[in-house]
Amino acid sequence: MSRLSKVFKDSAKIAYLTAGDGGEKSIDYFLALAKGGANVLEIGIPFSDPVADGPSIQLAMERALSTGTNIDEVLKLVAGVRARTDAAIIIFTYYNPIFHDLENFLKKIKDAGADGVLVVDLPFEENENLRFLCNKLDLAPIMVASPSTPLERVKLLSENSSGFLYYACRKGTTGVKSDLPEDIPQQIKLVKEHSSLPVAVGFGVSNSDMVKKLLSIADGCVIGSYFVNAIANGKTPHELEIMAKEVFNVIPD
Amino acid sequence: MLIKICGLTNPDTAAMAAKSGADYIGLLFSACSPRQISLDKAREISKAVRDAGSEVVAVFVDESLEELEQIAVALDLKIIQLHGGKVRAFCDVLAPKYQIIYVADGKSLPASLNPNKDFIMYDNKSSTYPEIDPKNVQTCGKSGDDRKFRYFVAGNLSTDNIQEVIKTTQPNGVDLSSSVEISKGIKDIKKIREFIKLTRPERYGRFGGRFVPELLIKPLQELETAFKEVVLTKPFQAEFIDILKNYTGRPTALTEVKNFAAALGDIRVFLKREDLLHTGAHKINNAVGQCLLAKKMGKIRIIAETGAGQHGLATATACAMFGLECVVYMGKIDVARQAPNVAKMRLLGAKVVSVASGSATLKDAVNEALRDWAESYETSHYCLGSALGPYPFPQMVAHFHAVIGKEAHEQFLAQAGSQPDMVVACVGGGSNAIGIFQGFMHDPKISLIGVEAGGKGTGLGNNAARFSEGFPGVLHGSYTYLLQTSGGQIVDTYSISAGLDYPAVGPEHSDLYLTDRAKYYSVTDKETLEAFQLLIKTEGIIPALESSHALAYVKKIASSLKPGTKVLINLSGRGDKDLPQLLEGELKHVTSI
Repeated sequence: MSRLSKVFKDSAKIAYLTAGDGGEKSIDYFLALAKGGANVLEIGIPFSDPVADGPSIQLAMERALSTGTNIDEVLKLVAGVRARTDAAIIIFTYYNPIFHDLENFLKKIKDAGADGVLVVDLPFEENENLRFLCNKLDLAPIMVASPSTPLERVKLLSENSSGFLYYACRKGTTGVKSDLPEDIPQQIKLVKEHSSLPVAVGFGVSNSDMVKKLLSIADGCVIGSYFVNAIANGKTPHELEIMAKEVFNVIPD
Repeated sequence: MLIKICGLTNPDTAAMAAKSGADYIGLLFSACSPRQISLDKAREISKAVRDAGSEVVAVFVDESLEELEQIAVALDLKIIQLHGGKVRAFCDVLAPKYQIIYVADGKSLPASLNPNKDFIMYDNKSSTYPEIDPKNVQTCGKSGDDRKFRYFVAGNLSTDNIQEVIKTTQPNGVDLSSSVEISKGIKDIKKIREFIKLTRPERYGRFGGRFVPELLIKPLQELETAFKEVVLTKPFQAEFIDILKNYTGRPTALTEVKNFAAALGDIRVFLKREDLLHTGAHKINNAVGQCLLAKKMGKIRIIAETGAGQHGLATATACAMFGLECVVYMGKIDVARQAPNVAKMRLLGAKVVSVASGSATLKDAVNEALRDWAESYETSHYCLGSALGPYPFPQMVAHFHAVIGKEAHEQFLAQAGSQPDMVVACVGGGSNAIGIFQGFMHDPKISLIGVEAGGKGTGLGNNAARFSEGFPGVLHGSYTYLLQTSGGQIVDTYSISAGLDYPAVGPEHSDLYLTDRAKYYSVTDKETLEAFQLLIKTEGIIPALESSHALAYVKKIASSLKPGTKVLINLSGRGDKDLPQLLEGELKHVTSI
């Protein structure tokens, strides 16, 4: 059974950081998240123009790029993380840094130990080749559904991706929010009804109450900007691990 | 959607088909085909196609295994199509060595075919595709075979049925042959391009598309529907034309500038005077068009990005007139260098948001506008200011600026008694250039020239010359020529002119460039300033720095032109907005006279 399917037998606790953020300690931050309870690590490839992301992740990408993080560095990081944890690994990226050599890129991340890939600006209509190559290489192509996605399309997206469906639960971009949208239980119920895959919910998740609530209604949750901000605020890997434990160590309702 | 064009017999047409978006070019060797070619000709075609970035496919019908392999080796083929019963029998031998396109014959598919690489093709000789059920197509409907293949449809495709066939059969690719021919075996590039356009309406040849996060798919689909069902109707067009005439001041003049031309040499120069429009540039055509559409879509708030401030100003103006709320994103550096426009936008009631992230210029303003739209699309319309971004923006913006070329075409004929030899326009995103080019594109005798910002000179980061220093990539929703590092990071651009200071070019320009219908050159800041001053002194017209790039290019090449050459330049905007910046900087000496 694949690592992702194993994770989703229980609840998926997905943690995002940008590769190379934190400089040489980048790998320690990822491992800290795994120790802190994350069972899926989402490793972001920095891009100069991350339009789907809010200020926290944009700044993280600027920091990572300023220290010269490129695809080769990301691959080393993925291999390093894989060697030291069994957590599933998914790669988050924009299309431009990878598309000139897409098949090779996918082969390399697979070899480095990744389990899936999410290309955020490559929607269903443009990603046929990505899906084909992922299928061939046994990587999960992960797609995002959002509140603007019609339910019929949720079905289409889930049937054409694998691993899990990433549900971005609010409009706008990534970034820390203090509450979940009020109608989140209904939203997730409908998405789950139409999705053939497990559903993990992200966008703005930043405390244990939110995690608890989400894990009781969805199959997983994603925390990104909250952890990214910790690096921006100078937290150590050890402190990040404690933060992860605090948010992830919950018993769903 | 993959596009394969079959039976090419001429290297030039094959290369052009490839550059126009064909992924595969099929070659035929069978004596029973009117499209048969020799091995030497096939070598020529293969080279041309591969140089153009596409792949060749040999289509085998009745060759022997020896003949077939000889051809495959000679052409270094990676993909072969097994079309006839005789060659299908070799599938088990060939499938391990090549990627196969296997033409279905209604029987079970060979076990040697691999869905991870091979394709099936349904070649339909009648008018329907009975074998194809989109749910279960991959296996020819044979039970016991659960392999899912990618598949092409072929045969009896026409411009009339292609979209319907795609809808009902949901293929991974289409294969065209006789439908793009003028006569048996003779392909017509115009027909090929027409077909590709219908197959991939979101693209210009290879370029364009809709590369956006999922969240923006629905608003873009709604906009596409509104563009087709509202904008392209008679009542909307009538209203739009009325506003252009009675509010923005169309038609604009066509001015022959004899003094300017005399200073350059023995040529005739005509300016299309978009600088005379309300708010001082062509941008208002698109702003009133999109705001009118937004109003009809029930939106109450407009988002815009701006570089030079001309699009922001035009949008703020249209919003004031239509009673819409307006938010304009503008890079911090541009806010500083285009102060008069910022003040005007605020006076018009718009909120101007200064963007400090990234390089703090136009590209970062676009990022912020897209982020705003992702959150507010239910009530807001994103009034994108150039012929770029995700489909349908490039098509829609080009549509609203088509009036420039239409007027210029009629005016030129009336004033000069013929058409221009060349049409020149500056290219940032490229909306003014697309606007004027549209009036002349149909006539291959008229050369089209786009002028990019050469900034301080050559070298990544010193300019915004996407065609000479960039290569294709994806930014802001579109596949197009970009200034980027080899690792795919977008680089900072530089130009004296805020409106051209952008790392991507509109996708239609990329198509015109690759297919050689338009040429693109760049001029430096210095050359631009010289032309700027020359036009002011000789004609009493203060051009925008953006438009001055087009003037500078003509000034630069004038001596090499044939005497009497007639040049049409799109004077896209006026230069008032640039004066404070210039009088404190490059033209400071003027203030002390």
